[in-house]
Amino acid sequence: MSSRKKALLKVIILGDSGVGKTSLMNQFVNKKFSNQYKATIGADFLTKEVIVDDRIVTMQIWDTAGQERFQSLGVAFYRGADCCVLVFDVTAPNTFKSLESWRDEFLIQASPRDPDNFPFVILGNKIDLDNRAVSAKRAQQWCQSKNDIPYFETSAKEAVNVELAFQTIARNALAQETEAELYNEFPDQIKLNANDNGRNRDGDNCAC
Amino acid sequence: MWVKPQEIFIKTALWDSDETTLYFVLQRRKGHGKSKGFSSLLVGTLDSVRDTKPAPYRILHQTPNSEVYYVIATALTEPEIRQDWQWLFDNVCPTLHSFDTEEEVTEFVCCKINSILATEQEIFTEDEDSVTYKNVDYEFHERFRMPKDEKLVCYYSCSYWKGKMPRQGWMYLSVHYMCFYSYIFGRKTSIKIRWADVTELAKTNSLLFPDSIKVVTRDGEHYFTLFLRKNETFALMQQLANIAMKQLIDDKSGSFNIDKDLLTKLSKNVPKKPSFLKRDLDARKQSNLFTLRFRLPQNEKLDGTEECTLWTPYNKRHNWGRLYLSQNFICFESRVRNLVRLIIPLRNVHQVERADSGGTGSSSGDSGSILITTAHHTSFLFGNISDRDFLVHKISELLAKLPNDVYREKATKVLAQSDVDGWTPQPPLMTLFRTHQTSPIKQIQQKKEKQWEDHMAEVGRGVSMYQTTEGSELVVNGIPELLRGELWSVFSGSILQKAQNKGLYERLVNKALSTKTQANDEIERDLHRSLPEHRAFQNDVGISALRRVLCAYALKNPQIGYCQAMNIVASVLLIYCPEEQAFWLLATICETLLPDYYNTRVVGALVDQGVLEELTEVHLPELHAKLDELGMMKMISLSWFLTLFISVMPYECAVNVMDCFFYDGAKVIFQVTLTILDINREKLLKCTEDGQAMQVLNDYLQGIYNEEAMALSTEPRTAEKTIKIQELIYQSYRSYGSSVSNENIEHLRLKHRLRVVRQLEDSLEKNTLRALQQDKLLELNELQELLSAIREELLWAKRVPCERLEAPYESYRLDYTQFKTLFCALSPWAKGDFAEAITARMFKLMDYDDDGIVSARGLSVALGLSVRGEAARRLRALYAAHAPPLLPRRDLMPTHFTDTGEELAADAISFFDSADDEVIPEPGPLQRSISEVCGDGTPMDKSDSETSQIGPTYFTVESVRACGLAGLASGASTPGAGGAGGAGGGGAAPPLPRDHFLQLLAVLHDLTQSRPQVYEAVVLAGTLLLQLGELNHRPQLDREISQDSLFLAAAAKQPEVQLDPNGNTTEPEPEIRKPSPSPSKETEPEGVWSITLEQFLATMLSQPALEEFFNEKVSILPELELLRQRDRLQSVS
Repeated sequence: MSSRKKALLKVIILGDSGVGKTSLMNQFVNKKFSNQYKATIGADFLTKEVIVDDRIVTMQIWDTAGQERFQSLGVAFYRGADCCVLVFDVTAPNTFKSLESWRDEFLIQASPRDPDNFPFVILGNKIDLDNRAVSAKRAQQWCQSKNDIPYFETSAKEAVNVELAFQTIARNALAQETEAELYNEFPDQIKLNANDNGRNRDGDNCAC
Repeated sequence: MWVKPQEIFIKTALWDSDETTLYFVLQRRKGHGKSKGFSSLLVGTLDSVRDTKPAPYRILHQTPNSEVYYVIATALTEPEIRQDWQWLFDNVCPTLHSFDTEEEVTEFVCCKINSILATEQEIFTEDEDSVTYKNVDYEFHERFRMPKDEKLVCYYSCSYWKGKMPRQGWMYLSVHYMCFYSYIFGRKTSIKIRWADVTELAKTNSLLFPDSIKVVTRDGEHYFTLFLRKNETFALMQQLANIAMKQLIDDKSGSFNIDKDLLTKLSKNVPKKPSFLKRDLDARKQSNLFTLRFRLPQNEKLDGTEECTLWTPYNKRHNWGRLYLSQNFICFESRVRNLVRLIIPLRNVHQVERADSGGTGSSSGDSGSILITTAHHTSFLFGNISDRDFLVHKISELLAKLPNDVYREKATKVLAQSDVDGWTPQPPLMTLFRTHQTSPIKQIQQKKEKQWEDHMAEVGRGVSMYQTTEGSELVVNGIPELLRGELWSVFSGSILQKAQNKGLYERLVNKALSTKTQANDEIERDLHRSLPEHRAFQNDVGISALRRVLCAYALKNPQIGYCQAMNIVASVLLIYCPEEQAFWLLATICETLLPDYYNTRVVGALVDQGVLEELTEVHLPELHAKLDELGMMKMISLSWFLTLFISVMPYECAVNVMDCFFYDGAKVIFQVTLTILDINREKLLKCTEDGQAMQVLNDYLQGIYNEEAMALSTEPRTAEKTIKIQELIYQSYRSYGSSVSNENIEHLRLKHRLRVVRQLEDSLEKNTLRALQQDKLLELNELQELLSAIREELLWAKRVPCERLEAPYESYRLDYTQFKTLFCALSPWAKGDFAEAITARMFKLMDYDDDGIVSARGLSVALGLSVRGEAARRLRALYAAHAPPLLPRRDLMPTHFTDTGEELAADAISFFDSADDEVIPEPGPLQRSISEVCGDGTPMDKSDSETSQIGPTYFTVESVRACGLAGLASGASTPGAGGAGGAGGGGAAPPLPRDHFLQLLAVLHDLTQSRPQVYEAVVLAGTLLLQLGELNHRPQLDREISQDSLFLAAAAKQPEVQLDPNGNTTEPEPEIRKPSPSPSKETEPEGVWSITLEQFLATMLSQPALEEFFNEKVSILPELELLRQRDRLQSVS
């Protein structure tokens, strides 16, 4: 792995059941919307090539199951993720509230090297609906409080902001990737240690 | 206990005599109780090594001139033997003097004892366990300090490898524990392991530990060897460990119940075993295998089996096999695998008769045959039955026991469903929403239907059809769409469930639709995401039926509720089956075929993930390494297994897998999975990362096609065709059909369940620890130990099923008794005479929702505050715990205290009581709510506890709690849950009335009792506070006094009150200096006796000794260690 110049970005989409993760992924990759998706069980994924700053990058987008009982089983899919997309439904306040726990769970299970700077992106989906219940301001505030996570308001149905959001995702993941290349020169064992340190530090941070 | 008089010659070899009379001697075995010394050690060793296990006390009968002694009574405890001894004195001794010769005396004594025994035996014949077993049981409880209700199952002689030395001793297997004890020449080895802590059980045969059983716990490995019956022991160990795991998975089955029914059932076939429980477990195991084999409802109990033949009319042959009889079924399976299988529900049985000479000449002469006729006028002929009369008798007995309402199906006609409640059960949705079929496919389907009609004309139709090899071949080719519903129900056994639960579905639907639950919400969200490509689910008819089935099931089985993937499976079932039948098929899948798959932690799917991994390792070793490296197993197993391939293969192909799955059980999923992996082996081996491998498999799965059915998806196929589904299934049977069996899978599941449950428990514990650490009270290692103590404590309690946990620690739920045990053992606050009172009050402080249950966090915070909080926080908590309305007036008088405690309280009260007119409230009706808390945990009387009117504002229980616990990581019980802890940040506590204050003071006295200096300080501060209270009470009182008290208070020290950051930072001083200080006085000029929190804190903390005392940080590790030693003995030598 260390020798490869990684042109592949692994992106994980997380969020409560029914917020539109599968639809967002399909809108981005296939440019279409359908209301005929089955609920995602386990995980599913699609790939798409994008151009970021004149560089061709393959995005491998993993779509996960949203029901709470599957939350702790995500670890298999999280490993090696370059970016994590957290989605909520702007018409359902509960899905917004769970963002925190999705984020924490991801950091615990994926244990990235540098949890403080791991790229997240928040998407507030379904803005095409009328019965909006989470204001843009509220979401924005939360994102700011979490180390300035980029926030987008999207509609998978009407393709609003989807392209833009995923471009940002790719760019941020790539930025992280360049930084991480430094680590790639180390053999694997050291990487493991780095992970462990990351986890410990995370534990301390959580306590405040 | 009297025993049959037995002659012995040596009186004192291994015994000490405690008392001797002319005719009787009372003896105790050496090594028991008092005596020590080499000889008693030796006896201990002998007893431990030999299986004799004599009772330690006995009474001998002797006559002065005889060398012969008779043992006439034995007992396990001294009181018991004393009782017998006394009885001899009262009833026998007086008579003995009247005899002339010693022979007559002996004869009389023996006669007397024998007659007692004879009468006793009549009473005790019911007693299931033999006497030796009882002795061992007693020793087991003594040695390992087991609670009374812990049941010993069996014990075995074996050796334990301690280092490189085997120690000969005994292994005791009980319901919750595995123990080992050896005592050889003064060296004791004692091991106690909870089944729930076992992560691995294995038979090993290494050079180091030859022919051993290995037991792995998180703490280490243990090896046992030299078993007489190693396999039996091992099987039992596995079974017990498995029961423990199942309890962890499924809270409902929290306690282990002996099934007396089972015992009597199997008594004919099962040899006598030492323990009643062991027999029960054996029976249970056999029944499990039996229900698994014939897909019977899980609670079905096997009654007995019998070798015999079954006459099969379709090929006119007698087939040797075994007949199984249970309460509701007669089953038969041929000796040749898969040749023929038959299930006859007893309720269908119309007639049982003896048939003379079973038809053909091949029978060996006078073989007994019976003919069973069912209500549908079908007959089944069994021959070569060795004990025909017994079998007929047994069957009629079982028939008689059938409950009346299900007796005889012939009377039950399909009731015309009334749509009173606004819904009618739908027929198979495919009949309402026909998919267009091209003519070649129509022809294929019709041809298949014809094949099946022909087949069923021979073997019968419905529950009791002969399931034959020919039938299974037809299944492998794919069941025609029209017959799927019927055959799925028959093969899976769900038809039996349905028949046993008439009307239940309708009731469940009516109830489920009218209630609002979280599961229902989740279901609603997924209704349109189940099988959206089928027309039936683009329509309200299909959607409503799906909603009914899922909601009804969520109601029926709250352990599962609703799990995504069930919607997908259920929608397919609804296509082929009538609604009610689909419901029962779903139930059968969730409970029998894929056990625990869909529960709240998806345990079953994780277990099978492990099973798959192991099977891959065995059958596809090189691929296993690769897949392991890629982390693939975890990715594929969930979606493949949970949806029975429906979400990964084209629909019209997945249903063919389901055909086989219902016919052959879970093994089908495994064999198909292995085949798919094997076919793609080359491609997979080339993959460098998980996405690539997933792509390979996805492409392959999407390319599977079925030429015999219409594709559901109307979109043109994009995937390249890979394999015909029939061929895939056929290949899977050819490659793995015999090597992967259901028994094999059941066995592997057992093994992996240990690991998965352990992992889940570990991660729950990790999350809990993480959450508890945020309170910043106890240290991590203390919390770890505390949690393990909690786990130990909870083992004995019934677990409460909780729907959704707000936080990880919520899953450890302690009632008052459990809280008390731990708090009293660990907190320095619960050491004195007021231990019980303090504990009860802290419990109430932590019991946020007044349900008599606190979480692990409640205990950790209560403990943490008492040992780690800063002085102000500790005092604040104590204050709040005594403030109304949290502590209602009626709880003021201690109820459970010791005498000295009462005295102390009385002392303290009278000491400070200055001849006031106020009368201390009478105990009596006031004693309720602590006892309520202590008792069954019924919610306390709200009217009394909600609010308190002391002072100008109303104080709620919540605000008092919030005040007492101010400074915690996140205000109240649950982070972000607003409500409970809110109360404007810090919350507020009312001023204490006099009685409450006196209680608090008494408690403080109690806490400081052992430290004279601190005690003095409490007395001093107490006096000041009492005067202050008086002052608040009667402002007209002489200024002098008040001034005095103020000066005293102020002079002691300029109080630098470190108050919490949550707002209550008002300095107390100015308040007191003003003539009308407390808020209560401003509104009520007459004044009420009261002390405010600020006054209390200021005065207390102005005493340096007190401040220091309450700032002391104490580690609870030593206490935890003590508790641990008390509870579990870890190999002490």
